Amino acid sequence: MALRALKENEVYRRVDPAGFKFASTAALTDLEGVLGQDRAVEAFDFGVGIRRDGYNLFVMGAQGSGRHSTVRRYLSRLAPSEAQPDDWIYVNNFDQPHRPSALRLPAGRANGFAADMKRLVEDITAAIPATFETDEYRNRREAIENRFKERQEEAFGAIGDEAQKRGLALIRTPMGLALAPVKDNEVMPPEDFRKLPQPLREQIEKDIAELQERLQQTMQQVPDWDRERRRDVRELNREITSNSVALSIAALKQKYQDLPEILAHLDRVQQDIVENAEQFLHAEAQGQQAEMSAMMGVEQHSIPGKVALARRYDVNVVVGDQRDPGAPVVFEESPAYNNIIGRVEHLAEMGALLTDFTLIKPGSLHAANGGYLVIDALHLLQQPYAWEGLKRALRTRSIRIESVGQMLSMISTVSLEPEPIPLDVKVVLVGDRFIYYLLCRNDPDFAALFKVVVDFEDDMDHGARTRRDFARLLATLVRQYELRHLSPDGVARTMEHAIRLAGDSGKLTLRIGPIADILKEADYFAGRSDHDLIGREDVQRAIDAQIGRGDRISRRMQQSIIDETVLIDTAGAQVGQINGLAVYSLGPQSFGKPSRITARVRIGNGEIVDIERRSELGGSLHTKGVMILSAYLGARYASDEPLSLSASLVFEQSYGGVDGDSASSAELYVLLSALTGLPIDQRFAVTGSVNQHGMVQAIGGVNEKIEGFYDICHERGLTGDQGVLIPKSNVRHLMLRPDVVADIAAGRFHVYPVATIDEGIELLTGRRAGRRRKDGSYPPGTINRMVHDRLAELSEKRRKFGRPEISGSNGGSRGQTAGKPDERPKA
Amino acid sequence: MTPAEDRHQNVRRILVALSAASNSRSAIERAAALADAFHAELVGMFIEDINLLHVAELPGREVVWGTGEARTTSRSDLERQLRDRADVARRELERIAGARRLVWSFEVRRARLSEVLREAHGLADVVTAELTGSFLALTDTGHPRRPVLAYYEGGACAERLLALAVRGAVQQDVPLIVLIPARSAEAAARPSAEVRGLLRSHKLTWQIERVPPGPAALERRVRRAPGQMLMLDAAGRMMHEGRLAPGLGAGGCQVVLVSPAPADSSSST
Repeated sequence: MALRALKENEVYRRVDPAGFKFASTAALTDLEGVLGQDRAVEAFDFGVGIRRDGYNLFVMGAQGSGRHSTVRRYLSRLAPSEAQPDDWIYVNNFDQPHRPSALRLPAGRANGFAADMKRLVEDITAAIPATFETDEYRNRREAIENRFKERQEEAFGAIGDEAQKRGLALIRTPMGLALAPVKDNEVMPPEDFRKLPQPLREQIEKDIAELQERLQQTMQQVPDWDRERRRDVRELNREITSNSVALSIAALKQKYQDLPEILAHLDRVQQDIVENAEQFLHAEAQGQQAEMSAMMGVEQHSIPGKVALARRYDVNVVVGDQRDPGAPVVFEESPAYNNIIGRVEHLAEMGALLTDFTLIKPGSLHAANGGYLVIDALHLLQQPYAWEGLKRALRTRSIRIESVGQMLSMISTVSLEPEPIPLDVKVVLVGDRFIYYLLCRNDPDFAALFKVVVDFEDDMDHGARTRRDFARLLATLVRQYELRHLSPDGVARTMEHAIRLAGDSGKLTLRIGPIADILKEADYFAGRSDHDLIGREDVQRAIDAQIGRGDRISRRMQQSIIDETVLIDTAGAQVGQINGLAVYSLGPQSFGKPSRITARVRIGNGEIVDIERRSELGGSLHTKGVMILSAYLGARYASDEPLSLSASLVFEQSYGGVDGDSASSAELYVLLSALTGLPIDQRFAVTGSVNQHGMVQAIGGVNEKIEGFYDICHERGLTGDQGVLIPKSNVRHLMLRPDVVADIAAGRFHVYPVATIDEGIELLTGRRAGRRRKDGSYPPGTINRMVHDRLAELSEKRRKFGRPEISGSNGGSRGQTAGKPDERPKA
Repeated sequence: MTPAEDRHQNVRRILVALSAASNSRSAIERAAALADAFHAELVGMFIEDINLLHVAELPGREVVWGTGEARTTSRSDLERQLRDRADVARRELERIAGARRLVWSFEVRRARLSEVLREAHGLADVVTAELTGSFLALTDTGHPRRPVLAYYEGGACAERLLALAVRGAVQQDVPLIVLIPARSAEAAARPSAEVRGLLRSHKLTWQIERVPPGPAALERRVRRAPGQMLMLDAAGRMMHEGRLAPGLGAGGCQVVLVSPAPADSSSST
């Protein structure tokens, strides 16, 4: 039965604008919810609702499917109704300064506490020096100093007096003290000393030796006296300041009496201030010096004491700055390790890097703690160690700020180890499906930490209800991007484009991104044409322009065929030659291109040589297709005798590699042609894969493939009898370009749906394929009969040809059956 | 301010005498404060005390601060240490004078401290020294709340000495104690009257105290109740009666020698 070419309505599913009951999308309300993603939304609701360990979400779907915007919209709606999490601060750990303490405060109180502490330090910085200025302090301090001095003066004075009595003086040298004889109130010149009588000199030397020993003993006591003095001063300072500090801090303790952690910290602050009271005096002095230096234009390189002291009691608010009410929703756009976990920054001072707890910077986990953190999975995985850091935080349910070097134990220099903060966050990873499956396969932690998968559909069924919803979606996009509204025919054309993007005439794409792009571009063209509404024509221009902007390569390839640099026949008939069709995907665009496939056969051992594979230009799927057709040949035509042909198949002028099995039907047709010597009509191009039973199966990119061959035929001039053979099961995927549809409607170009190889070969050769009769033979003159006979002939020839060859072979084993050596496994 | 007061307070050059035995920073800072107050040039003079160099060639050893260790020190060791100290003193002077934007100079002289102080009136308007000299003084720290002591001997420089002492006391907001050397109350009557006359117009707390004449009595007085500075007439009898007693620097009291006012000084306030 002759194949019927498809009609216009079978190659393009037209959306009837008359079916829309609105004048423009302005009449439509915004779409509530997410179109066609009921299952994903349900999973999302479940994921955010369940508050259990490991129930983090992985939202996956195709690019442009609206995953990010949906997550953003849902969380933004949900979060404000949830409780605002606590604030967190880091404060100095006075016992272990390298391990700053993390303190929790009720939401909204951290900043107030930080300000209170700042004021406290200011008050104390002023109050303590004032305390030290009091007469009481001065007198007591002077008494301590005097006690020390008197002790020294008494001890050294006694030695001095004794020395004076013996005619000696106690001299101060650069490094200490010495005794020397005196003459006329000055040290005796050495020459005078030498002139003294021997006995007198000896007496002086003896006196000096005696007093020197006393001097040594006294001198050795001085450090003890000084220690005692310092201890007394310290005690005095502590006593004097403790009252003043207690007074200043009492009000704060009252204010924060409901927060035991804060009260404990205030106790530690109080104790530390008292113990370091003198620092406040020095700080005051250094502060004045720094101010003077600044006024005089002298550059100050070190942190002035006052500032350093203020930092000691500072409060670093890591969570609590200007937050919106409700649970936080953080979208981390740059998910580097430090941006997620937080970091400890350093100040460069005099060539050294210094840090303290005030330089702890929070990460997005801190900001999202108690709420939601949304991260693009690909961006996360692209950042070194960010994924490891995030997993560790989720696993331990705490945020431990440490550098990558610390995490990997690669550095051992002293740095801060801030106290970890408990973590309660719902992480939402948004990514492509391949990332999800990649992580599932390769990371054992992933499944335990991300138990909820939210899988966004790529498309949805196309029906009356969904058409209405789709139109509302367009209205929503129009309002969102502030575009012109669409007329009904504009909606219809956009919807047709959505069908084409879905790759199935029964479906509409749910990849909102490309649809939004078309709307924006159509709005541009509508503006240029002074249209109030976006109409069909504007949408078409946008689609054409989009293709036109990116079709340089397809045009170059097409031109090379027109120029006959690449050989493609679109007329006549050739033995062992057929037009196959391939799809090229370059960036966002795909296009089809015909390729000449040729086959040669000769006597052989049943091997069909896939030259693409041998030359390492063919992929595994292509090889699989060739192996299937080989099996088909053997099973159908040579089931009871060896397949005694050797055939070679090649994509002529293909240099960039071929994959997929969509050419396997074309390869089978051309092989049959080569076997039978029947020429194949070059007015046709063929696509479709084949199974071992000779059934033609669906392939991808059918629209692009048809359009690719059409473009060549159109360029050369349509003859009215050119066309493409496609798998019958691909008919529902057809959504051809309007120009192709127009020529199909006019009978200038044809698309033939093919279900079996027999149907296809009949069209291609113009000869009946022939059905197998009861005796297993095919009717004479049919293609199948010719193939069968040819294979039998080759088999017979091989049998005859093989015997003498075997007996005459060098080194071969006598008596070996013909063909035996060839039964080794094929590559 | 009267022209006479102006003339007396016109201090153009303040010399700070430094030695290995003194705390150069403290001495320079205090002298610099004075120079700043009087808009005077600050001159640092580091004295390599000959007495100290003699010690190296005499019996006995140096007992080191802190450890009490006794060690032999050669003359070359001492000379090197003095040079080092002089370098440190010079840098301190440069830094401190620079911070106050003072005109300054520095020199090193090998002499006896007492000789330098005796010649002080020829060197500068005011000479300051922490009178540790070669002899013992145990503390270097200043005591800004203590009074200014002025040793009033009368004579050509007396009025200037008093004027500068008043200014120092007012600036520091401390009392002024004028020490009048006299063997009896009668002997002290006339100078006391002079002082009262000179101080009458000044708003500050002041008192007159009679002390027996001579360096030893003055030293005893200072030891009993040190001031923050002791102002002496550089050309007075005290300086002619021999060396200054080391006890004058007791308790960190800064000794300030005031030279007679130049006859042709111009007015400035």
